[in-house]
Order: sequence, then C-alpha cells, then structure tokens
Amino acid sequence: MKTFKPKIALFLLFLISILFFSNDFGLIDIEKTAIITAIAIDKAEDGDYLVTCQIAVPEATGAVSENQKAQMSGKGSTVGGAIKTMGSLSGWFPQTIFCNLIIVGNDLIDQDVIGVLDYFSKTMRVQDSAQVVLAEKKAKDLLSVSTPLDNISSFAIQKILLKNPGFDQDVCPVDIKTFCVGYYGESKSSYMPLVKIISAEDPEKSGDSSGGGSGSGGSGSEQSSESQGDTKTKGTNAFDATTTALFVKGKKVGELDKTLTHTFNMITKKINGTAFSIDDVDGVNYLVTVKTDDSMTCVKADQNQLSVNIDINLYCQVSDQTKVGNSSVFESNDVMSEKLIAIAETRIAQNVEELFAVIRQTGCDFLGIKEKLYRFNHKQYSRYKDNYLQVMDTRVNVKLQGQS
Amino acid sequence: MKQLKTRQICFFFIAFMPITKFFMVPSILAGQAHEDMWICSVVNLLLDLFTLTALTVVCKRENTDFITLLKNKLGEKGAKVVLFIYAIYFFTKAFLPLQEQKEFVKLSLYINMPTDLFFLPFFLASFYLCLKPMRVFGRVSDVLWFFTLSGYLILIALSFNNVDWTSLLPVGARGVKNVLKGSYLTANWWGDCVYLMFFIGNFAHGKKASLKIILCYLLSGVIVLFAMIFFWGTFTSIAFQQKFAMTQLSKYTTVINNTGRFDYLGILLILFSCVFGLALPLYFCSSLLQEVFPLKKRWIIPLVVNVLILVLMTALNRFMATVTLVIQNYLSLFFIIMANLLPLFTLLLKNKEKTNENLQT
Repeated sequence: MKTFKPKIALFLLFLISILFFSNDFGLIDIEKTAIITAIAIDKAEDGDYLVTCQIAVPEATGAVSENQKAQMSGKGSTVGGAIKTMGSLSGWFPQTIFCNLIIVGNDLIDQDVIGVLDYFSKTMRVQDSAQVVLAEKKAKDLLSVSTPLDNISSFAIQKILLKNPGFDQDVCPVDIKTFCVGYYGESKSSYMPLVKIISAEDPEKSGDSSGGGSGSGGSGSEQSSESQGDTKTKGTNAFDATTTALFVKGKKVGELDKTLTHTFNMITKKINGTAFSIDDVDGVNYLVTVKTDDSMTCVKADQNQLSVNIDINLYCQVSDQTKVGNSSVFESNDVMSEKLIAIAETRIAQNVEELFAVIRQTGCDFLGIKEKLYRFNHKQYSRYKDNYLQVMDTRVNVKLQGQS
Repeated sequence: MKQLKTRQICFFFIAFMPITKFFMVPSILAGQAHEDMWICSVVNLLLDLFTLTALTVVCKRENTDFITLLKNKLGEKGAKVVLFIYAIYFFTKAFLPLQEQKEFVKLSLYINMPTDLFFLPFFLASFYLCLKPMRVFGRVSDVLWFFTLSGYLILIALSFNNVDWTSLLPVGARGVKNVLKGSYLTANWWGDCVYLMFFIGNFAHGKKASLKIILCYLLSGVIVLFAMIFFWGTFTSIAFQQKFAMTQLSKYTTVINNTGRFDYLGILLILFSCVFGLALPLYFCSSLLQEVFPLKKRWIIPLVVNVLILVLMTALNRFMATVTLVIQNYLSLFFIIMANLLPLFTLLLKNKEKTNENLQT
C-alpha cells in the first residue's frame, strides 16, 4: 500500500505530462486541413491584399498521375486577414507551416513591401526559412503555370532557387529572415530574385544555363519517373530567376541582370561548381567552371578615407571550348592561357565595378558595406554613415588561377 | 539527515536556472541593447554570483535553516513578515515566466486556438509538487540537468552554422544606459541565487561545496550567455521580433529543411525541465505561506496559490502586454532587492545556540 500511492501519483503525473506536451486537443482533421505550399500576394483593385494559396492535394501513390494542386484566394486589408478570409470561405484550415515560397506581386513594389513580409517574419505559423521571390507581373500567375517537369509550380520555383552543390549558383535566393534582416539592418537594403515565366522550348532562354552539365541529368531522371504517366497536364513554360530585384526601405529601386547576379554571388558566397562563359578570346568561346571561390569584401575607414576592397580569388577549370582542347577527356583540366585568364579577370573586375555603380545609383547596399562600417570601423561610423556611397573609394582585385 | 546534497544543489542550478531565460528574455534584450544584449545578461549574472557567494558563506557557517535563523534574529512575528514578503516575491516572480510559457506552448504546440484551460495540467503538476518536501526538487535535479543540457546542446549544435559571429561587433557601442536598462527589464527572470537562501542548513555542506555551487551557477550563466549570443548571431536586426527564441534558433539548418523539425526533440526536453522550473517559485511561495499561516491541512495553501495564479493569468490575459510592461518597468527593482540585496543580510544572521555556546566557552 505504501508504494501504491506514489505509483498512482507518478502515473497521474505521466498522464498530465502527455496532456501538456501532446497536441491531442489541438489537432484538426486532416480532411479539413489545406496544406499550403506557396503563397502569392497581389494588390487587389480596391487596394486590399489578394492572397492566393497553392494547396497540395495528397493522393494515393501508385497511380500514374502526380499529386494534384488546388488554388484558393482570399482578400483582406492585411496579409494575415486575407489568409484567414480564405480559410473562412473554404472551411479548410490553412496550414501554412509547410509553405516554403512567398511570391510578391509586381504591383506591390511601389509600397513598402515589409508590410507584406513582416507578417511572415513574426508569425510562428509560417517558417521564416520560406523563400521570397518577386513576380515579374502578377504573383498569382506564377502559381498557375506548370513546367514540363513539375505540375506544381511552387516546387519548380523552389528547385531553381535552392540548388544542390554542383549546380550553377546563378540565383540570389533569399528567405524571409534574410530579407527582413537586410530591411531592419543598418543599410535598410535587401534583395530577392525576380521570377519570370519563360518558354521552356525557347533555346535562348532555356539553353543558356551552362551549369546543367553534371546536375541537371540527375534532376531530370528523378523527375522523369514522375512525369511519364501524364504528359497532357504538363506545361511548356519554365521559370527564370537569374535577375535580382533590389530594395531600399522595402521599395524596389533596381535590378541586377544575370551577369551582375552571378558576380554578386561570386563575392558574397562560395560559387564552387558554377560555370560561366568567356566568349570571343581570339575567336574561341570558353566555358569556365569555378572550382574554388575565395572572395572577400573588406571595409576600412579612417579620418581621411573610406575604402572598400573586394578581393576575388578563383581557381577555375576550362570545362568546354569551341576548339579542340589539349585533351579529349571530358572535364580534363585544360591549360588556361594567360590571355584567357587576363580577359576573365578584366571582365570580372568590370562586373564588380558595375555592381558598385548600381549600389551608388540605386542606394541599395546589397554588399552590406554600411553594416561592415558599423561593425568593424565603428569609430568612423558616424563620420561616413550618411555619405558612404558617395565618398567610398573602391578597389577590386581579381586573381584567377587555372592549370598553366 | 539533510534533505539535499551538494551535488543536487549544483544540478538544481544547471537544470532550472537557464531554462526560463530561453523564451522571451532574448527578444526583450535585443530590443533594448541590440548586439550588446549578452552584456546585459553578464550584468545580471555578476549580480547573482555576488549574492550567491555571500550565501555560500552562510551555508558553510550555519547548520540551521534560513527560517530558524530568521526567527532567532527577528523573532516569530518579524520572521513572518519577511517570509510573507518573500512569498509575494515568489508569486510575482512566477507570473511572467508562466505566462510566456503558456503563450509558447499555445503557439508552438497547438495548431489552432485551444481552450483557456489548456495550461491546466501544469497547475495540477505544480500543485502536486507544492505538496512535496524540498528533497523532491533535489531528486528531480539529479535527472533534469541532463534533460536541460541535452535539449540545449541539440538546439545550439543545429544553429551553429547560421550564426553570424561578426554581428556581435562592435562590443559596447549601445552604451552603458541601454545595457543597464536591459538588465533591469529582465531582472524578473534572474535572481535564482535566492533559492540558495532557502537551502541554507538543508544540505550537507561537503568539501569545497561552496566552490562547486558557485561554479555550477557560473556554468548555468554561461549557458544563458551562449544562448543570447547564438540568438543575436542568428537573427541580428530582427531579433527583437522573435518572441520565443528557442524554437527559432535551429530552424534554419539545412538538415531541418530536408528532414523536418526534429529540433523539437530538444525543445520538448527543455519544456519538460520547465514544468519543474516554473513550479519552483510557486513551491517556495506555498512553503513560505505555510510557515506564515500554519494550517493543519497542508494542501490548502498550495491549492490557493495555484488557483490564484491560474485565475489571475486567465483574468489578465487580455491586458498581458500592459501587465508585462508594468512588471518589467516597475517591479524589477523589487525583484533585484529581494533576490540580490536582502539575501546579503543573511550574513548577519547567526544561530542563537551557536552564539550562546561561544559565549559560554
């Protein structure tokens, strides 16, 4: 009897713990739960937000068809309100925790876009790691498009945003957290990929990606098994996100084209495995793959000057060329001529200078120069914080190495 | 036979001291002191360590518990007044951490809006714990330190790669005023050294016990400091928006994107320790009130305390933002006095019998 009471008490405590930690009372019937995979936000005609959600509809596996998608829209004076309206109208609980993509419509770029994104940053209902993109036109349009390999467009967009190592790092992906960190940071600058709908069959747009070599084969084979069954539903469009939209205080101020996006990536992240073209070197076009990228941005300030030094150190390899190479073996480490290296260095340096020109012109400090000034040269921060874009002295040092 | 062992006191601080500071505290500090938020916690920690050191001196010197010492010095009535004030202190100290915990559980573990009574199981557990002797907390500390450390390490390890270490620079740029304000605003969550005052005479003071206790408290403080540093390094300029730090820290790991939120394992381990950690002030509140109003039916006071705080939390739910501001801005001084200043006076308390013995010899 003596041990009986404590046992009962322990058992009750255990039951209580289960009640406390488990979510039994919070569960919603799966049949009433809409699993939202992407959210597109546009401006409605009356100025409200029009939120369109792409909802994954799970189906039994084994059938030849892919998972189907559904779309629902809701309107509200705030983004959260619009999502709630959508739930109220449909009776389905909008489960946004699996949402990995937020698409901002082009009609929202004139206003402070943080009014849209702050909701996702603060709420615990959406992951902050969800990617944010800007649509070239209506955000809703991106959700209706199917690519030849993906029925659900949000999955297709995520594939081009978050690429595995070995793919070309030709997109500047950004998640909600990173965008908001830039917005609330010292420079109030942030960026996001601008997604355009392109024709999958247009060779100019789809055939340009030089990095498809090693990576796209694997991806294609993975997708082919899914897509063999039902080819009728497949679209003929694809997405291009190689342009980067620039924002200052939440308003769009400019864009980086494909080349500048590539250069931006080269400076701010390791782009190992990314290939880029160097055309017309004595009439020969080269495809050069970056094997190691060791780049650094350094901001130094004293009473007299503010200097921004960008050092780009690349070890590259010729992956393809429009002439007979030294070796017929694919991916051989062909010799990079001094001329090729010199031209590549000059072009990269020109691109970096062009990036600085964009920073000065738009005021969007996407390289985080002001942040570095604040962190590493705090004593000089007050001296330069208001005019650093005008007075900064930029130095670019590009060193490219290859098999010689 | 003493109720507790030195080992249990050490584990007690490791298990319960850091956990309550993982939720709202980081975002409050980030809003006040930005990259210097961790310095605010250093200030709080140093204050606590100072008080703790003074208390370890008393622990070593005295073999009688704090309440008896107090009665010897101030008499029965005087002691009751002090104990009653401490009961109020523990009651108010419990309020905000409980409220934040309730909010956290509601937002992170429930998909939709649960009923107002979803947090009731905690109070049942708390009521049960309040009925138990002090040694129960010693025993659970023997186990829960492992839960706290494991949960913490899981979350820290997962967030390691996402920390921007340079964001901690420049150190001290936000000024002394902001740092001290941050420390002041979060005084509610600190001051755990005060528990040692009630352990005086209740544990066997072994060899180098004081040093062990101080080092364990320091370790707990360092755990908190690292949590603050990781939090700021992960969120930098939006840290002030991230109300519940622990769930936010680890979710940017690539592994989690691919496999799902298995970091909740760490969060649940910490939450389990929290059940006991949050019941602690209610336990001491009940025990002290029992001393002030000695009732034969010992379950009455724990029941009243737990029901009262539940009712208050439910009633003030609508005004929680105001209540939080009031407690942070106007009661913090009370918390500092009760946790850091008044315990220093225990140095003046001496056992009467011991004093008489000394006089006789």
